[in-house]
Amino acid sequence: MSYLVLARKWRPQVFEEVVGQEHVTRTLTNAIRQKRIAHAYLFAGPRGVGKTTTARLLAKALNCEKGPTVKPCNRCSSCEEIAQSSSLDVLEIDGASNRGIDEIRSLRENVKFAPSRDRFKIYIVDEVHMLTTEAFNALLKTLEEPPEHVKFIFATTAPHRVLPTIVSRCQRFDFKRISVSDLIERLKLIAGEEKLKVEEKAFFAIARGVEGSMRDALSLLDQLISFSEGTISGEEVNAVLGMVDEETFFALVEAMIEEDTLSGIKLIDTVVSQGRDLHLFSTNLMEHFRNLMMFKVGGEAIELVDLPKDSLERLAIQADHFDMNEIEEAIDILSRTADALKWTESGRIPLELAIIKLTKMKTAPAVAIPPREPKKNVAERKLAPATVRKVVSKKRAPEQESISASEEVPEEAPAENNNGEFLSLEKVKKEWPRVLERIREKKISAEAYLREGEPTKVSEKMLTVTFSAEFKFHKESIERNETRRIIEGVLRDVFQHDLMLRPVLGKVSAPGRENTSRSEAQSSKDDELNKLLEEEPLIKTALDTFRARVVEIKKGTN
Amino acid sequence: MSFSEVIGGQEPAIKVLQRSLKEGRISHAYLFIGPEGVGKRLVARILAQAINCDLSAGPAQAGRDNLDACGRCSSCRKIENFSHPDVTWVKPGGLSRRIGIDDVRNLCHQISLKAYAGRKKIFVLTEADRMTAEASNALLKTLEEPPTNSLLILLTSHPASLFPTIISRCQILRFSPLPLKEIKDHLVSKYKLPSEEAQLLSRLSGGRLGKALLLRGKTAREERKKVLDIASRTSPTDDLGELLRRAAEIGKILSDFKRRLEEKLKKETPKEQKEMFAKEQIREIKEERKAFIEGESKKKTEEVLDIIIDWYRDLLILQEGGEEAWLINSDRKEELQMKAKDVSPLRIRKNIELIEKTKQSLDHHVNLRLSLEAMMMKMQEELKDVQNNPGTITGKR
Repeated sequence: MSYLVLARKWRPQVFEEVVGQEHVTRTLTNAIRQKRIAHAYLFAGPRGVGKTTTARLLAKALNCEKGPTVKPCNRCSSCEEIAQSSSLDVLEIDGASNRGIDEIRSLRENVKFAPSRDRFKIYIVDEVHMLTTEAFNALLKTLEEPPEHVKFIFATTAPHRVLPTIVSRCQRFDFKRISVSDLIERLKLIAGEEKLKVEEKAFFAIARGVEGSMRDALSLLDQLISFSEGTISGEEVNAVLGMVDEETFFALVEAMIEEDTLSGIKLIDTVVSQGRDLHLFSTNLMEHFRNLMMFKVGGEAIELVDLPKDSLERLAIQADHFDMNEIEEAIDILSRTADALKWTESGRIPLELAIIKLTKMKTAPAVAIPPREPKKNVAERKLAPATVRKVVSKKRAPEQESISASEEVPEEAPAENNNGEFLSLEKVKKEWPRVLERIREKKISAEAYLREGEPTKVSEKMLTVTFSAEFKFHKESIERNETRRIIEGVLRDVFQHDLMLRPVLGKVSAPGRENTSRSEAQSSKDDELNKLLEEEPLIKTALDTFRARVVEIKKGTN
Repeated sequence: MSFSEVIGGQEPAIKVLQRSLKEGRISHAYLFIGPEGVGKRLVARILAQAINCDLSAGPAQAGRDNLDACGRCSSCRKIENFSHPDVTWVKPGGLSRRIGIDDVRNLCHQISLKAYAGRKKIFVLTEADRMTAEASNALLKTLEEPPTNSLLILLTSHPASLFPTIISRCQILRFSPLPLKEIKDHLVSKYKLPSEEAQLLSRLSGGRLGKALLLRGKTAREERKKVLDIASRTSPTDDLGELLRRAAEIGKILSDFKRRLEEKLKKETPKEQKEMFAKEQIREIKEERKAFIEGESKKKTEEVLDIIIDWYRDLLILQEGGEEAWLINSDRKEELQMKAKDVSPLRIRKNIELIEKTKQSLDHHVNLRLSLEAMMMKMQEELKDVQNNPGTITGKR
């Protein structure tokens, strides 16, 4: 007896075992109970979600000796014959190899004859989308009004290729992709029955890697049994899928943050020489950025990130280093790379190119990764809103409240400086003119930008400076590495404390600063001018060549 | 030949197969994914041999498969010579190089028959991605539930062009590019190449032994030299005539290749055979042949453009401070280093993208010569841009 793969061995034999397609099985079982069985069904849906299985179950349910029943006995000769596909009255036809008009004509001839033993004569036509147009058309009349003893079940992965005239004569059921949790549940059951040792993480990796297809999941499990020694681990799942482990994605993004092109290229080298699926790699990296994006959006969006908790914490930290535009750009670069990878034989070069581009995205703030310890802090802060939001929504609080809850950043202990002294917001505000003065000494433009912001929050590691919306340009200018470094340097000197600068856009409390009204009006005008100037090719070239910024605009005499 | 003799680098795939053999868990369908020339066919053959090997008295009687092939028994030898009645190789047929629905129908019929001499009926589909849509669909049912004692092995280097419905029915085994050192050692020990040359070939091969062997030939080497000379000479001062001449040079390499291929095909069809065909058939054959030559030329064009891309890639690596060991064109180190100093990285990136674009446009039946000329001109414009007006493209794509 040759080995039967898991996907075939564990093909569901009763309706309850069909996972994730309750909307189909419930309708069908109800129809059977109420004796309202249609004469033609069309099962559509992606690969490996249970179309053929359900078709066979339906055939059994209809032809079982115990009468049309929702629980076929699986013991009578009809049931057994259907399971072995040797039944005379349940004909499973491969639509893709018998696709011509002649095959359909002979089918039509045979439809007339009564079933040999069972209640119904059931035609299961799999891959029905491959029938030729002529074949479809030859079937129309029969399909609309077949003899009473005939039932048709069509299954296809491409319903759009089935003629509309056919579809309209059938009851159509759309099968869904199976959710990750449903997959895991079923996999666990099978692993238990088969006495396999599988890590929790591995289940997760399998379910995530198969795009909601149960057959893919079971094929993979089969493969893993042969691949691994002893317990099946998450890393082994990745290896078999050709997927790169999460660690690499984190490392790559860290290389981006540090603008370390060389280590990025080295990482690519490892991925290539491990023989991983490069197209998959690029799309997965894209997904990593998508996750970062979700963290940027914050609040409820974080719940859409389908990852274990410790990964979420690391994502939160990485997300802090990017703004939305950068993430967008990265995704853009990667999606084009993924496209290019479909065409080339060796994927190394498009990937290397992409990494060089990513690590050189100029605007990425060059802040060193914070040391291990504070990671948790930031992560907790980032994770908190999600949990808060859950509680709130359970109470059915007004939407307004939940939003403010998710946006509100939990207070952190006020920072202390190296001497153990408190570094409070008041103190920062008090010292602010001095800070500006010092920055001015180092770089005039940096001071000019920073002046428009207002320090709004101090935590152990971070100083938040808020800019009102019209000073977006100033905020972005400060985010540039160079400027940022200068400012952070001065902050260290003044407060004797390492502070990360976090410019944000938001409401500025009160125009407490001197000459605000003047400078605000002035600078918004400047802003416009700046924009105009930047469009001007000559000036643009000059700016780019010297990596400069417009600092001052003087009116000319002409 | 046995599993242990396969050149190093494919251990994961082989391990899976051997364990499956040992535990009696050989699936009914395998899909081998990996670049050309890394050993997929070889492993498929050894698997077929192992399953049907004659010297199997022990485990086979216990209903188990053999663990390896002996390579000496008559079954193993027949499989090696493609003459075993139960091991069938399905290759892209006709001159359009496709596996058609008739091939698959034939396979489905054959597989339903009992094995003649061996333990299992085995079908190997090389280049499974060359199946037509009809063929792929016609295979689905058999691929999912073939008769007992049969095995289907699909090989592909382009999994993206296989239907997901096909992939989902197979156990997938991945074949990675070989470690360059393995290729080098293999070239030295088996083909007696001098170490330096073997080193270069291994780097050019990108981990594909098959490609390394192809590049060994005299024509291939000359072609590479020509193309690299063209790539390295391009400079902003070139005038239009110069550029067109270079495009023509590349064009000539390609037309030479086409001519050689045509001659070879002509030789393969003897005159007597031609007389057997009716007129219509001859026309059909000619059409198919034309399609085949077009396809091969396209591949060749891609190869040539890849040589240029490799060159630019090396420049980029050097500019980023990469080590010399990372270079592909290790024989041109000095030249690369000089060039790397005076070309801007931006321009190189742009140019690589340009060439990639040209490569993609080949699929749309463009006029080859025109697109080569356009490519050369655009590449040079890019260079001028950078020189005169560096700001305009900074940071923009």
